[in-house]
Amino acid sequence: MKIVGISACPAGLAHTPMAAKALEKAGKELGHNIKMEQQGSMGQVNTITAEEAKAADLVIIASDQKITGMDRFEGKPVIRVDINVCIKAPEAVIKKCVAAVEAKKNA
Amino acid sequence: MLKEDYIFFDVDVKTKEEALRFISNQAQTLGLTDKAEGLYGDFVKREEEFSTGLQDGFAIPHAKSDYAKETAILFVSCKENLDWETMDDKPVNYLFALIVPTTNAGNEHLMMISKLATSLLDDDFKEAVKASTNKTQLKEYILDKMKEESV
Repeated sequence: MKIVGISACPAGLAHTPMAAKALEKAGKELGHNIKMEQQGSMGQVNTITAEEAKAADLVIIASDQKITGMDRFEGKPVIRVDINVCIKAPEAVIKKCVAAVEAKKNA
Repeated sequence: MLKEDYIFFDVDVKTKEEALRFISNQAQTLGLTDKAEGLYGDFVKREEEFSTGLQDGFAIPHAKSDYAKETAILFVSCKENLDWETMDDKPVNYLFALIVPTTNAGNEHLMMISKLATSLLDDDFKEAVKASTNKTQLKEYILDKMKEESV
């Protein structure tokens, strides 16, 4: 599955890159194509392009913050996840989100 | 941003608040802030937003603060288990305190902090930090890690 996502946290210093890295690692290990953008203290890092957004099967938002550029993902399944859970249990997050999207597809 | 003087082993603090106060006071002694009390307030404010406790005994208290004069990382290992809300419900013994000025933090420094944070996902890194007893070696090890880990 093609997964894109964005992580963001209040200070944008530590949890943002941690969640992005954790999800990317877990996603790859589970055989997915995944790219995570970070919206933190350095602005946007590893930005998801419009093309990448368009090609995505699933969008994971690891944040309870306001996210810049959500219009990129119009019409895509967007799932919001607690950023701490993404750091603690990234594989479970990916599996759950993928399962939710697949269930919707098959419905 | 990380010096031997910024590393503290076996510090005798008993609570999260004492630890944050210790860090803030040391930051003033080291010239990283002129006002320990203000920096402490910003650490506490950040903890209230949500806890910076991670897993395996680590926490990363951090403050983007008007009271911070330069970007710095302080490492503190604590003698006692600190009660700190963490992702695995384990107590905290090891702190990486991140002190970042509100303005002009410097992207290079922010990048290094980001790398330190992602290093903390790595079990080998955590084990090496826990096992360390030598400030010079620990400083070099952490700085090397911050350089090699990619964003």
